[in-house]
Amino acid sequence: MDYIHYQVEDFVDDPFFNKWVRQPGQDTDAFWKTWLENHPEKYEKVEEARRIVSFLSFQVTLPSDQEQEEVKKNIKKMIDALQHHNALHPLQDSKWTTINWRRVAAAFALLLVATLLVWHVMDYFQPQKYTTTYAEMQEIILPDSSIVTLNANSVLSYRKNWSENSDREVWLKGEAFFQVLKKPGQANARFIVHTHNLNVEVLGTEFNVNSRHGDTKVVLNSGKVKLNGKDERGQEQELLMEPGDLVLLTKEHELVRRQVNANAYSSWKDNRLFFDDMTIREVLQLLEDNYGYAAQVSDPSLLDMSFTGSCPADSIQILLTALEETFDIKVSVVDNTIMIQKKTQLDK
Amino acid sequence: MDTQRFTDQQDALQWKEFLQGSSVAFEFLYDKYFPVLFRYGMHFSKDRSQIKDCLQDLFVNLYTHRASLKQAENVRYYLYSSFRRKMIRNNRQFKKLYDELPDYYDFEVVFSHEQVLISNQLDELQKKKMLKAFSQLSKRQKEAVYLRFYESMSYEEIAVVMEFKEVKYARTLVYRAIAVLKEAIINMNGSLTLYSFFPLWFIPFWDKRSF
Repeated sequence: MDYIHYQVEDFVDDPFFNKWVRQPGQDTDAFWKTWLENHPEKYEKVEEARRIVSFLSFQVTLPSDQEQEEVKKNIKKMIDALQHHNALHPLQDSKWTTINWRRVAAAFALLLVATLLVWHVMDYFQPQKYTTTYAEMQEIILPDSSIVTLNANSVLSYRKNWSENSDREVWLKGEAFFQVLKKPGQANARFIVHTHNLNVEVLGTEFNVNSRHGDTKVVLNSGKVKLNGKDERGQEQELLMEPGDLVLLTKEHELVRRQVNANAYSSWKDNRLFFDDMTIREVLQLLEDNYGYAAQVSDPSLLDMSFTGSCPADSIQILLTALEETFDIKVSVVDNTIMIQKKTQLDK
Repeated sequence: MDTQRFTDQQDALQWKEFLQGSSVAFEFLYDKYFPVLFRYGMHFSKDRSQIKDCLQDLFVNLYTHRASLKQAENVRYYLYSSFRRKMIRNNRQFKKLYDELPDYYDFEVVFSHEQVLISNQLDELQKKKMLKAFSQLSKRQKEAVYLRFYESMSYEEIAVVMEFKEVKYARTLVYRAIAVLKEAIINMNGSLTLYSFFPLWFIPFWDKRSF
């Protein structure tokens, strides 16, 4: 054992070291005490390792004797029952020859028709639903030929049959970019996007809706949009948006409005992520929303640092490398978790 | 690891007899493994009935399908991984997403520092910091640490039980967990505990206007 070169982690992981800490005895004491005398420079590391090993004392729960016996009895019962069943019901060939095939065909046909009927009726009333998973994007063409680009981890649904005179309505959970066609000569043909706390009413427009974690954020690229929502008093309120506007309605009913570079908020649909003065916190939130990554940060002050940059939406590694270089931090991905820590001497 | 090799050999013999139809051998394996698997199961769920049901299923299936089982199996690896699969995949809560999100299950660990020998080695403050750091590890890290330090499993075995593609992944998980604990006690000047997790749903407001 190359104990001289061991780091704290290596001592902790070593079974012989563990034995010494947990169950000290003559053999283990003899070895380690002597070894430490000969290598006093390792004392500090050994001490740290001792503390960690001591900490890893698990408390466990064993089953009672009754429980052990009870399950054993049940197992025996089950096994007997299964063997008994197999003994009593072997396949009987004679049964197969007396089947009336006509009857079977009729029953089958009836079942088929009934199934189709039920399926058709259910289908008519079911909404059309599109769902994306993490890191998946989907383009959807609506019955009126408007185009919706659905971002990752999102759901879009709408009723199947859109008639000329009724409103065009869709429901969104997550994020999507909308390109809505104006309906010529139809004064009443509204297009409405419903999120859980906001309705977006549109006339021939391009806009981005991000509705996650109870908050809804709308960014207007071009055209005109009217928002409907309830304020903290429960009153219906309306707001008209101009191109370049960002409006955010939080789940606590707070409303925020400002002007932004609208393209930054919809660049994802062109397979590009664009960060315009975003905090690391927001960047990590975006990665969690769209890719399912959790995050751990060693120093919370890192979360407030601002980042401007872009990367291809299908290569997070480029983004992570950019973060590393911009902020002099170490970024790694373990176990679906992004770990961020300040660079130490050891990492140079 | 001499004792481990001995019990492995003992298990292999009993397994061989069991495959040949010996119910005495079957009972031996049950008596030996029921308590340790139950103990392992208590980390996935606090519901004793659920654990007992899984164990019942496990052993009944073992007996009824013994004709198709292989001799070469390491008994301990096989029982632990089959049981684990049942505990996680039979749970309606986790069944759907567990394959896509490998950390999507429960695994809780409880420590006991009451023992005089142990409590003497631990500084209260450091213990608190390590508890906090440990609570923020991923489920898979907690489980790997339990299997390594309580069940004394080798990394090969952990990789089999936890269904990892490579053995070194098991080692990485455990080493990272130890590093987290080490960092927690390294800084004694009252500075922030490292690896603290901040809630990311907090979105800052800029230009607030009343509406």
